[in-house]
Amino acid sequence: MNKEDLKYLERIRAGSEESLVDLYRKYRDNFVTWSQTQFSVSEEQAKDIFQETMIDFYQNTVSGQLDQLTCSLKTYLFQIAKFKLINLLNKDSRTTYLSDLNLINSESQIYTMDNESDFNSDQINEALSKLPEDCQKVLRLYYHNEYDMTSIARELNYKNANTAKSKKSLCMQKLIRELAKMSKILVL
Amino acid sequence: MITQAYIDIFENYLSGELSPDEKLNFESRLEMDQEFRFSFEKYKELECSLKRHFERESLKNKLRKSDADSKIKGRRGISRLHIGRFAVIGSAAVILLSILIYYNKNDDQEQANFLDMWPYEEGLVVKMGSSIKYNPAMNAYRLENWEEAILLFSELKTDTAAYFEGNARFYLKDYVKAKKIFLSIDNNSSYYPDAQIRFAILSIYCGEKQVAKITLDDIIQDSSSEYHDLALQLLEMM
Repeated sequence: MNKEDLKYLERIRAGSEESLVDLYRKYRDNFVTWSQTQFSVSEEQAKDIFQETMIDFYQNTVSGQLDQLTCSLKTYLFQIAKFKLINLLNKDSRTTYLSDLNLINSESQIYTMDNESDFNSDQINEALSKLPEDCQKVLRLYYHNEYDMTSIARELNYKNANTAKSKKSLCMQKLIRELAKMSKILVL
Repeated sequence: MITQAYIDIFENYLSGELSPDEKLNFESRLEMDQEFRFSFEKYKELECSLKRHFERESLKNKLRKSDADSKIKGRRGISRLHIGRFAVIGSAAVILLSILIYYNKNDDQEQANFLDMWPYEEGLVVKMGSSIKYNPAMNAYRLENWEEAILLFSELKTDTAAYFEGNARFYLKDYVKAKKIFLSIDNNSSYYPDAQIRFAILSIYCGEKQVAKITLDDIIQDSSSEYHDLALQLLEMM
C-alpha cells in the first residue's frame, strides 16, 4: 500500500466522509469502464455497485473491522466490487461464484458485507418504508441525527420530550412488527 | 416477540433513566430470564442496524451527489474549451472579449440582485430559563450576533444547527461558506427544502448558474413546496 492509500485509510478511519467521496471519484470512472467491459452492466448498475462497495469499506474501516491492507486500496475495492457484481448478476439464480470468491485476497476475509449482519440495510429499508412518515422522521432524527427527545419534540412540533419518547417507542414497535413479518425477529 | 412493554423498559435502561433499584432488577432479569435477555440482545442489534442503515443512506446520497456534480463540471469543462477555441481565432477575439467583459459586469449586478430574493429566517423561539443546548445559539441568532451564533451552532453538529449557521454566515456576507453549509444538509433533514433554495440563490450569486438551475428544477417538481413559486421566479429571472 502506498503513502497516498495510507493517508486515505487514516482519514477515513477518522470518519472523514470527504475523503471517502474523493476516493470514490478517483476510481469511479475506472471501475465503471472496467465493469462495463468485463460484465456488460449498465453505467448506473456499475456506479451503484461501486457506491455500495465504498460504503461497506467506510463502515468497516470506521468500525475497526478493517485496519490494514497488504494490497493497494484500488485492488481491494475492485475485488470487493467484483464480488458484488457477480452476486448481482447471479441474484436470480441464487448462486455465488465460489471460484471468484477465491480471488478475493486475505484482506477481503475480514471484509464484512452489509447483508451478513442480523438486519441488513435492504430489510431495514423495506420495513421502514412501511412505517408512517412521522415514524421514519422520529427514528432518523434519533438514530442518524442523534437528536435528544427535546430536540425531536421541537423539530416535529410534539408537545414535549415525553411525547417524543412515546412516539419513538411506538415507532420501534411498528418497525419490529414489520421485521417480524419478514421473519427477522423470532416471535416468542 | 419484543413487546411494547419490553421496548419501554429497554429504552429506559439504555438511556440511563431507571432508578438504581430498577436497574438492579433489570440486570438480574437479564441474567435469569433467557427470553428477556434474547429480546434485549435483538433490540440492541436492531438499534445498531438502524444507525448503520441511516449512515449508509446518507453516504449513498453524498456519493450520488458527487456523481451529479461531476456531470455538471464535465459539461462546463467542454463549454469552456469551446469558448477558448473561439477566443484565439482571428482578430474578432478582442471584440468578443470586450462583449464578454461588458456582460460579466452586468451579470455581477444581476447576481447581486438575486440576494434580495433571500427568504428571511427569523430563527426558532427561545424558551427562557430552559437549559436546552440550542438556546444560547438561537438567542445569539435572534439578536443578530452572527459571529457568536456561528460559533455556538458550529459546536452542535446537527442539521438544524448547520442550517442556522448557514443563515448567519449569509448575513455576514460569507457566501461561499454559507453555500457549502447548505449543500451539506442531508436531504432527509426537515430543513432540506429551506437549505435547497438558499443553496440555489448562493449558487447564482457565485456564478454557478447550471448548479442553481438543477437545484431550482428539483424544487419546482414539488408543487406543494413553500418555495415552489420563488424557485419559478428565480428561474425566470435567470
